[in-house]
Amino acid sequence: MGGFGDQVLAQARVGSEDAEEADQVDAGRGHEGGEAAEEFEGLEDELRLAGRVQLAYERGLIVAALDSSKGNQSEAARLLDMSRATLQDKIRKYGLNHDPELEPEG
Amino acid sequence: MTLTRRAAVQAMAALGATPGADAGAPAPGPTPRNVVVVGAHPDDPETGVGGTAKRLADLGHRVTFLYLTKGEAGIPGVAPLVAGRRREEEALAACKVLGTTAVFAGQIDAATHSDDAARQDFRLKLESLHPDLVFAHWPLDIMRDHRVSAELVLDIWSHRRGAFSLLFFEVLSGFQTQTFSPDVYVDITSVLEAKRLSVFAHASQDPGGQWEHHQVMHRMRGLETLTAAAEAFVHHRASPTTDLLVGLAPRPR
Repeated sequence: MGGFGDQVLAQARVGSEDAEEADQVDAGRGHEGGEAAEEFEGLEDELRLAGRVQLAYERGLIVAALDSSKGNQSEAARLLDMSRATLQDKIRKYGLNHDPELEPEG
Repeated sequence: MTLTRRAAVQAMAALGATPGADAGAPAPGPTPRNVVVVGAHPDDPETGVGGTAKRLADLGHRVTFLYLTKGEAGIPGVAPLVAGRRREEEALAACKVLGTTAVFAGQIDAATHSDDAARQDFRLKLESLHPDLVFAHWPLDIMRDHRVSAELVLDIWSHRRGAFSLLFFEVLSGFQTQTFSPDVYVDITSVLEAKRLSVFAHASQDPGGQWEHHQVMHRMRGLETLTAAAEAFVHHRASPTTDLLVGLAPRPR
């Protein structure tokens, strides 16, 4: 596992946080008004889009690791440089535990 | 009178055409045309269209290999991002051999998708290349990424019918591509070595095994058109015919 992977995964993790922030921004909607609110909405859209893209990217990396490890979660966690527990959380988060194409082989 | 396939092929060859090709169409003009080969992973365009791509590039056409993913899941035991980087380098080396340009569409191997956002993103990438001719995976394929790749191209084509000619290619027929009955052939005998080098540029992908299987396919398609080695395609009959391949058709020997 090289530094390159760590960097991009770190970005993916930041993306998750961005998405959460975007959700928080979304929750605060309605308390602003006027031009400032319009600008804020534009930023909100950008944040939401960036968060979605990066979440999709992280999901893709996890699927690729599971595919490469033939569904072995310990091996996939090693490839992604994260703990098995974190990986399992993310598998649940992305609904991958219900994906028949990603069933562990054993 | 019964017309045998062999007689038909010989007769069409005399007219400078193969079954499905455009008899009498003009040879490529002096203006370079844009050809895009859409493959799901690095090595798909090379194995399916490598010889044809080399011949088109040699004629001065701009040939782009648009890879949907970098093959992140394709090296067992190697982290996806590391595998993707390695396979990107392999693709760049292969394209250098063939005289083509590599473009990566940014999806991830084994996790490809064709939802609205993905279709929009892919459409922008493909249309930015202004293709006159597009090669796509044949949609009946056991590999999901290949099917998604074909679906993305078909989606664009269906909305921009007539914008480009559409041909489908085969990869590892029998194992991956299924029920493929081609109607357009290209003689790749003269560029077989360049194609071999491009396939072997993908050192992480068992290139020997891939090449062995594709050599059988080259020979089979060659036998169908009475030449030594050929690549074969299915023309989407509702798409514009293309004159780009006419001069590349096999001449039975």
